[in-house]
Amino acid sequence: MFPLQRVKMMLLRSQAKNIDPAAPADPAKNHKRKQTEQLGALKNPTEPAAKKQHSKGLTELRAHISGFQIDSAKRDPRDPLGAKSSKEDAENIAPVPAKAEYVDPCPHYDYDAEEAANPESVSEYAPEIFDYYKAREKMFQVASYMHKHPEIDVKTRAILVDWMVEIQETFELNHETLYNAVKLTDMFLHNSRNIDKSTIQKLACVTIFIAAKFDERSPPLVDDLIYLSGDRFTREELLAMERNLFSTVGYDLGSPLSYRYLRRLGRVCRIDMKSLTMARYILETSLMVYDYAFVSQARQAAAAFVLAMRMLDANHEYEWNPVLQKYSGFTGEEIAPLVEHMNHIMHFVNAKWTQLASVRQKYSHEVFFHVAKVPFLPDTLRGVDEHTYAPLPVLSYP
Amino acid sequence: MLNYDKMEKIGEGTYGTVFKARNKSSGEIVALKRVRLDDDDEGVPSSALREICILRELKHRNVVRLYDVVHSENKLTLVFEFCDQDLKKFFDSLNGYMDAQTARSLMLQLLRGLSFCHTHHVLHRDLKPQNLLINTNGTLKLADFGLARAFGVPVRCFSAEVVTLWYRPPDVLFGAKLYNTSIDMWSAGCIFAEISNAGRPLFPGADVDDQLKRIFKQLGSPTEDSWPSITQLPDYKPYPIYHPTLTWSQIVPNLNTRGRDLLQKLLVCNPTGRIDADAALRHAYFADTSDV
Repeated sequence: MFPLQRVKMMLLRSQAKNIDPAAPADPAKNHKRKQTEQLGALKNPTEPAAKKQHSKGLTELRAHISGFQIDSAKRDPRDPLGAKSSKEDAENIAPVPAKAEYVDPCPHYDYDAEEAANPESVSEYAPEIFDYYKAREKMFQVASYMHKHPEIDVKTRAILVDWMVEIQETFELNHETLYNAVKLTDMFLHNSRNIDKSTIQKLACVTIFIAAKFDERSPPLVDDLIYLSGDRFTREELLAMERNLFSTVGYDLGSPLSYRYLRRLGRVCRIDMKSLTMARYILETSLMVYDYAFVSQARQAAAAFVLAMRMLDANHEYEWNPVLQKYSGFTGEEIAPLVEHMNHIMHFVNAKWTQLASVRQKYSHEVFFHVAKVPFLPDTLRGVDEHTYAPLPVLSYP
Repeated sequence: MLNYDKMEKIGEGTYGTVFKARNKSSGEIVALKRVRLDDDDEGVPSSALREICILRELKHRNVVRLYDVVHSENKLTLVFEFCDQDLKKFFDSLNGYMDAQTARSLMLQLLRGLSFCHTHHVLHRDLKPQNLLINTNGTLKLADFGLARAFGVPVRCFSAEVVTLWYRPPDVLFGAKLYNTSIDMWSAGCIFAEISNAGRPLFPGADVDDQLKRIFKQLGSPTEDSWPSITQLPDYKPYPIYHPTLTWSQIVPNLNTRGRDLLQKLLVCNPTGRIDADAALRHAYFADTSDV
């Protein structure tokens, strides 16, 4: 643990909420202002005297554009990529999987059609976007990596994630940022070697920093992140780690997140906030578990969903149904082993990792409907030993 | 940047300066967007980070291609495919006349690029002629993703300080923070009219108020009937009921009936009623070439 930081964090927790939005020393705000000024400057896009240098190639160019039209007019306009897909188009993952043998498990229910008038549902694109997520998951797949890092073990990673949850709360970051940061941490560790204990906290800071810059309107500042880490590293070291992360995992930060799949299931099943929060608690607890880094995000979301619904049901019953099958793409049999293991994990984390309490404390709060106090279902699995949870069942990917 | 010979400055993006350059080994011409990183900065700026990440993901003939990223301690360089000019410069070369076939081709390509972005969970949020590049083959490419962002489903509230004024939809002008792909469709409508008029902007407002007046004078002021919940928008204020004085055939005289129909489906004040990119691509305007 990092006990000293906890105290400091409590102090900063209050400061963080009182950041003066007008303070000129705030680089994030400065940056935003730059953007705003730019927008202002662009109010009048009329540029000084357009250059006339290109008239000679112009006739040719216009012929090209018209030529493109003639060519494209022959194509089916419903196929936005054009009939003959070029080499570059072929590099893309088809957002819609082959539908040849697809049978709709629930043809009478179309959530997106029902939501057509609701702009936040983006119903025109929602089904394609979730198909696209699923197709992309494989690109971000992580395999076992602990053997590459002698100084780090399963418990170290759990402590780290527990700390990341606190950081997420401290800065009031979106949950997507937390999930993305954990994913980036796993991807980095999967693609590197011999990372020591002193580096791993810096790594967590950087992944939160990057995930927040990608998704948040006001990401945390470098100085605050360093402060929360107990000044264990300098600004230069943190920024060097940022470059290291990009060169190790690349720049594609848009990995599909279990959290997004879960919201989707919650929406299509039209469950209440308490049920959704219950499932979030389970999913967030499983973020701490190393083995879950190898499990498909879509599958984790589906399992957490079912487990939550069972925990909240008076008779602990909730059957897999055609709606879930349609919108998750899984059958009940495919999900069942993971549901059982997740339930085991809830028991294990609460009983054995008692000091890693960030998630539990967070979800004990009233705003989270005290879901951490809901009794677990009986544990049907047995840990390997006193300190090791049961092995993850063999699951196909995704 | 040892691999490239810098040739000349070609412009300023939302962030960073853009240069034309030649690859020393292959001779290929590229565009370099350079972002300075200072010690007291917050690392890679989020606008650059989003543009890189989004373009790493979006590979389509109507989206500008990001070849490479070179990241050093004090400099971040994005290596893009080079395009000869943008749509604005192309307009300037037209001497006020745009033929119908070219206009249709440009619009078709814009919508294809946009459909690809939207299907891949990306909002551009700064569509305007300066950000649409045209290469020597006549291919149009969406560029400058500095204000773009990936969206989740359901969408969250985002910033209302997006899209250059002339291309900003009325909901965002009224301060709406909850918007979706429809934000880009309004811009596409404005650009469509501008294309068919060979570069004359449709709604060249001076400020937010003037912008809304120009829009409502052409389209009629929205009401609670045509746009339920309009009065709930953060910066909503009532405007007088304007009655359009110009017909669509006066505003876009070069556009045929079907083109005018598509334009009116894009320029719908209520974002819920605005046509999406895929439906726009299926519009009869693109199927019909008989009158060209």
